[in-house]
Amino acid sequence: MLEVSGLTKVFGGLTAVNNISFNLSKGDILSIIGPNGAGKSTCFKLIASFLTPTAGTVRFNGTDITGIGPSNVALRGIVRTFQENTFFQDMSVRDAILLGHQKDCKASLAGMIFRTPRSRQDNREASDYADRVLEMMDMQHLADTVAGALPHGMLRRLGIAVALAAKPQLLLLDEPFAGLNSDETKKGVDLIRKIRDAGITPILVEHDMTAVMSVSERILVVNFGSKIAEGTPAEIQRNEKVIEAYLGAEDEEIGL
Amino acid sequence: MAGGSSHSIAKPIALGVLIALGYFIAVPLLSGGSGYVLNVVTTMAAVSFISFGVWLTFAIGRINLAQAGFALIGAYVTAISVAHLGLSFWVALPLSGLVAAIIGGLIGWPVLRLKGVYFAMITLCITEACRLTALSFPGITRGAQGMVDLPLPGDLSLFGLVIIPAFEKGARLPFFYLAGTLMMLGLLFMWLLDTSRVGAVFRSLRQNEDLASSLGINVAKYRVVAFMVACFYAGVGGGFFAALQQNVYPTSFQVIDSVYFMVYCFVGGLEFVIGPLIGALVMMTSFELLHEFQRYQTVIYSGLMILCILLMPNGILSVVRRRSSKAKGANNA
Ligand SMILES: Nc1ncnc2c1ncn2[C@@H]1O[C@H](COP(=O)(O)OP(=O)(O)OP(=O)(O)O)[C@@H](O)[C@H]1O
Ligand SMILES: [Mg+2]
Repeated sequence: MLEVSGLTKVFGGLTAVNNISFNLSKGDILSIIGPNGAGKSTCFKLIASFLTPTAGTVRFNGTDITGIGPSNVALRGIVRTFQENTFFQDMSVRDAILLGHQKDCKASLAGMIFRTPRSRQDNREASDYADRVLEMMDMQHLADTVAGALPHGMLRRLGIAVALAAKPQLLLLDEPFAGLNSDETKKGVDLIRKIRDAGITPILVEHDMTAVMSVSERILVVNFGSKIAEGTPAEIQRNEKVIEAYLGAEDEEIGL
Repeated sequence: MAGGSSHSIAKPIALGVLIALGYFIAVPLLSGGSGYVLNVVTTMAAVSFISFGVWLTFAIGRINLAQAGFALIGAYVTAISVAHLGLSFWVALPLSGLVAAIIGGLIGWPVLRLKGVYFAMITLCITEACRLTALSFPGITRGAQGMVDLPLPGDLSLFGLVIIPAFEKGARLPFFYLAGTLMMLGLLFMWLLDTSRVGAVFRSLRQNEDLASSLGINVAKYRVVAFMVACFYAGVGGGFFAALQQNVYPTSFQVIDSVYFMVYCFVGGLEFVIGPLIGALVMMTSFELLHEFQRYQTVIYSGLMILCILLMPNGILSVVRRRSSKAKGANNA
C-alpha cells in the first residue's frame, strides 16, 4: 500500500534522510527505530508531505503522492501524529475529535454556515463517529475536558484520537509512548493492535524497545539518515550492524 | 460546539429579532429627534459592522490592520459607481463589498502565510498603500481633493414596487435604519459562522495550523475565506460611510482607523461574536461623554482605553461571563 523509494532530504549540508526505500502492505505493523537524530521524524514528515524531499518518491495505493502537501495526503488517507504534544489548546476532547472528522463533511462552506440538511447530516455522522473514537480510545469520561487541562499521558492519547477521527488508512505515529510509564505503554501497545484490527495500518517511530519488539511485525533501523537493517524483531536483535549502531548504548536498550 | 442544529439556532434568532425591533423603535424615540444622538448611534453601528471583520481575522489567529484600507476601497467603489457609472447605491453597496473581498483574496493568498507581528505589519502597510493609491490616480479618485457632493441613495424598487424610498436631504433616520440593519445582519452572519463547523475550523487554525493540516483541512483555503469575508465587511462599511458623508477622501480611512477597529474587538472581548459591537458602544459612548473636557478629551479617552485593556485583558464580556459562572457555582453549592 505504501512504497517509499530513494527518499532523501538534505538540510543545508546535513543529509537527514539518505536514500531510504521500503514497502508496506496493509495490516503490517512496521516500526522505524534508530538513535536520536537519525532522521526518523524527518522520514515521517516526508511521507506526510510536511516536507518536500530532495530526491525520491512516495507512492500510496499506486499513486505518486510526493510533495502534494499535508492536507492532500490526509485526504488520501495518511495521517500523522506529532513527536511533541500537539493539540488544540482551548478545544474540548470531543470538539477536537469532531474537527478530525471535518474532511469527511460533504456540505459546502455556505451549507455549513446556513445549516442545510446535508450539513446537519454531516454533523450527526461526525457526532456518531466521535462517540466511537472516544470509546475506542477509552476517553469518554474526558469528552468535555479542555485539551489544555489534560495530563501528558492523556495528551499523547488525544493526539492519536484526533488522528483516528480523520479516518486514516495509514497512521504514522511519532513516538506514541514518549514519556509514558510502563503501565500506560502496555495499554498503548494494546491500542496499536486494536487500531490495526480496525483496518488501519500503523507505522511507529519509537524508542521504547520493549514495546517495539512486542508490537512490531517488521522493523526498519535507521542510522545517520540511512537504512541499515530491516527485518522481523528477532532478526533485528541478532543483526550485527544494529548492535554496532547502538554500541555504547546499554545492551538492554535493543532488548538483548 | 462545533455542530449546532437548526432548532438550537431558532431561539437565539427569535430573541435577536426582538432586540432588533426594540432598537429600531427605541433609539429614535429616546433620541427625541436629536440629530446628534442619531448620528453617533449610526456611526457606532457602521463602525461595529466593519469591526466584525477584524474580529473574524482574530478568530483565525491574525491581527488585521488592513481593515481601513479595504473600507477605503469600498468607499471609492461606491463613490465611483454612483458618481461616474450612474449605478444605484443599492447595487454599489454590495458591489463595494465584493470588490474589496476579491482584492482581499488576491492579496490575502500570499500574505496570510505570515503570522504574528509580521502579518500585523504588512496589513498596516496595505492600509497605507490604499491611501497612497487613492492619491496616485486623481483621474479616477480626484486625488487629495476627494470625491465630494456624492448623490444620496435613491429608491430601491423591484417590479415597480418601492421597497426603500429615496433618502431625503438632511434626513438622518434612513441612515440610522440602514446602519442598524447592516449591523444586525452582519452580527447574525458572524454568529451563524462562528457556531458552525466553519467556525470550529477557524478556531483550530488559530490554535494549531500544522495539526489542522495533518487532518486534511486545507488551511490556506480557510484562511483566505476568513480574510475575504472580513474584507467584504470592510468594503460594505466603507461604501456606507461614502453615502453617509456624501464624500470620500484618501484620508477617510487610515491606519488609525484600522487600529480603532482592532481596539473595539479587544475591548469587547475576542471570544465573543458580539465583542466588537460592545467595544464600539463602550468606547464611542465614553468618547462622546468626555466631550465636556474639551481639549483633554483625547488624553482622558486614551487613558481609559489603556486602563480598560489592563484591567480586562480579555475584554469587557469576559468579566460578565466570569460573574455569571461564579453565580452559577454559588447556586450549585
Ligand atoms: N527543519 C530542519 N532544518 C534543519 N535540520 C533539521 C530539520 N529537521 C531536522 N533536522 C536535523 O535532521 C536530523 C534528523 O532529525 P529527526 O528529527 O528526523 O531525528 P529523529 O530520528 O526523529 O530523532 P529523535 O529520536 O531525537 O526524535 C537531525 O540532525 C536534526 O537536527
Ligand atoms: Mg523524532
